Amino acid sequence: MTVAAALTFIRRARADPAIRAALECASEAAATGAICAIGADHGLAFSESDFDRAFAIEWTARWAHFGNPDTTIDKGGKGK
Amino acid sequence: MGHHLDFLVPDDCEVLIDAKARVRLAAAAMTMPAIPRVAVEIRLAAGQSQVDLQQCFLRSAGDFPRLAAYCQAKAAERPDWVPVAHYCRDLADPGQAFGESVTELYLEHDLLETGETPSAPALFVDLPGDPASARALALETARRLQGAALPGTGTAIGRIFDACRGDAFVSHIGCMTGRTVPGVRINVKGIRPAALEPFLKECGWPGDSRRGSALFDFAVGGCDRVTLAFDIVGALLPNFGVECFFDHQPAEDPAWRRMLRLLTADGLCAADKGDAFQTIPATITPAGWTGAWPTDMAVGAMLGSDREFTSYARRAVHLKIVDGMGGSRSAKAYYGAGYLTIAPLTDPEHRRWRPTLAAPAPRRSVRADHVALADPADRAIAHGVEYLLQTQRQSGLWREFPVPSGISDNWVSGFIGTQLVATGDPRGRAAAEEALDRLLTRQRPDSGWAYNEDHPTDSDSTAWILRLMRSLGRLEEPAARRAIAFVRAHVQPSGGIVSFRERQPVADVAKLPDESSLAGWMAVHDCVTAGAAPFGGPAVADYLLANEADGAWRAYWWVHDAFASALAVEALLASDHAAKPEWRARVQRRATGWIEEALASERCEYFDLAFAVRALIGTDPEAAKDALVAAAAARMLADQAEDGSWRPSARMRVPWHAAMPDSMTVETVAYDRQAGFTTAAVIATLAMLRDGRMP
Repeated sequence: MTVAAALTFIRRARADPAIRAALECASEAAATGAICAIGADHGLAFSESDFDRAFAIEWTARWAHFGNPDTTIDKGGKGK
Repeated sequence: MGHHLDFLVPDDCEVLIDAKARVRLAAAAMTMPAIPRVAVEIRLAAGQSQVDLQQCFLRSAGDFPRLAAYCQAKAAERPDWVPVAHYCRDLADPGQAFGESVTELYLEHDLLETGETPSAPALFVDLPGDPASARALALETARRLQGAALPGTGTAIGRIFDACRGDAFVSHIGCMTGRTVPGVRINVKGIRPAALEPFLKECGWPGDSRRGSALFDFAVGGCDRVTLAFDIVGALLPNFGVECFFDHQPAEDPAWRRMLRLLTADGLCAADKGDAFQTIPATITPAGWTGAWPTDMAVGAMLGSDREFTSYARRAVHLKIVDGMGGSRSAKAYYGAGYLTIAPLTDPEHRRWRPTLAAPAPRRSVRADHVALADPADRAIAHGVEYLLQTQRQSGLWREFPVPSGISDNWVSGFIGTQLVATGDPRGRAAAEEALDRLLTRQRPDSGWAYNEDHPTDSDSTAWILRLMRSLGRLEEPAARRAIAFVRAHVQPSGGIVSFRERQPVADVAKLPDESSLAGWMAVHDCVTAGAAPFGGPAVADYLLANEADGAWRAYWWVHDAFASALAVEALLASDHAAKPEWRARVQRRATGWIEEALASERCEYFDLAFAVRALIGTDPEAAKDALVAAAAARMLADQAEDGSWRPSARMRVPWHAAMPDSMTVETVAYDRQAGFTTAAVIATLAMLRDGRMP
């Protein structure tokens, strides 16, 4: 159960047809647990908090690579 | 929708949405379909804590079948939802022609402070552009949702449609089906201030039209667009709502702050609520969010491109002031929220969907006359005029150049109006007259005008409004005579002209501490001197002659010197120095270089090119026949955009406030983002070339 596994899952989700098909079937009301279950089905074990952490890391890394340095993202709170 | 509440309601906005209101919002959101396009309606007066919730459904996003299913489920439990459910069912039914032109629908839930179960929501839909189709849909919507109980409603709706002339049109209809007294709301967009009183009279509005006009005038003068909202309950009521929309968010446009403060001064807005509302806009990303990202958004992000970024955005939408029955007045503020996919590589300007409720609408009185013109220059000029008419606000003014201290309307309108008159197009002249009418109401007690209504008066803004008056033949009016005296008072012993005479008002608007030097901003600037030269007296030309440097005049407030130099040429040609060959030869060389440089550039700065051409022809009228000028004109004609504008290229700069003209540090460069300055400069230059005269 690691953040690294969740990161791998997120990256594979962009290319792996089986994972994508499973995600597309996940209902919009599904909890993060459903994503964890899909990950487990594909040999990637991570918890909900692992996924949340990995999702933020992956977003930040992509922004550093593809983001426009002129685009200002304003702050909107810290969450719960 | 319940899981979006943490995004929708900021942590630190208790003053706007207290704990009880938050609970009511949460309860309502839990029952709403997961379509993340919502708006929050906040009452601004102190002590009023009711907060309402609205949801927007788009046909283009495939929302209507879900809307229909949601309303049907509600109607199964709540009879008051039945008319709404039937309406939405028919709207979503592809087999029915009814409502096929509806592109967006809003459900507005009133969440009463008592906490009682909300009644059926009000329903709003947009109407098609064709007036006959819009009228038919409005009447059918009222009939379906209000029934035949209020026969006068149809008559009142018809009278509003009949009264719409020129730019005015009915954009939306709303039906408040769940209220104790069910009513219809009609939204009218585009109406100009001069047309309001005849409009109210023709549609039989029973309210105080002077009071209504005053409120409308206040609204159009303080924002970018105003929508009028009328209520009908069997007949048109004396209620009168003005919805004030802004093209920029509060952080970028202090006009929000200005209007909220005026509402506070009138007792319509608690000061802390006004301040808090301006902090609402935000873009929330997973990088700054410590909680769980909503699953549907996370799944969408993983299935999307790795070049796109999931986020959630809150944006200020509009302010609304309502004149109620019995002379009561109230104010509300609205913000919208929803998913925002940021695509910095494919959409670097970060354009976002905006509901038609808030988006600018084309002016209906502006016809595309240019298409019938055979001559390319005539066609380009007419098309440019049409573009500028489209971007002229209901106030009669244009707004450009967002800088930290605000967006200009007065100064910008003086410039654009002057260029429009120079084109010789009667439509441009009428637009310039409309702008001047508004500007004359804004002349300050010291007889000057300012960059905008938050700034102190300055000689440059005043000079451009004087230039507009001169072009319209109105320089003999008392307002002009007073303004000329104002400009004269800014002329220094050197003959140069300063923008400002008093330090403190400038320091205040720039939010500078007392000890800050404003030496740079308070100095003589050649660009200001050249612009104000026609009103500054004979010493100004001497100053300009003495300060020419290798055929150019140094601009303080502009990135390029062409604009200042063309104005200086104009001033010298009107002086005793006109015939002196030395300066003319140097300007010819310099302007020729600027034109060659612009034509060689892939990214031509049309504003600078237009003024370089003016500088060249001013000093050498024969150059108008040269191949170089012909090439410049051809480039401008070829590069006109489909909407009639030229890419924004007027680069205003705001130097560091202490930076002197000979050693500048640039702090900010602002473009005319709506292309108003650039387009006006280009069409006036093309007209000059066509007509063989200086603008």
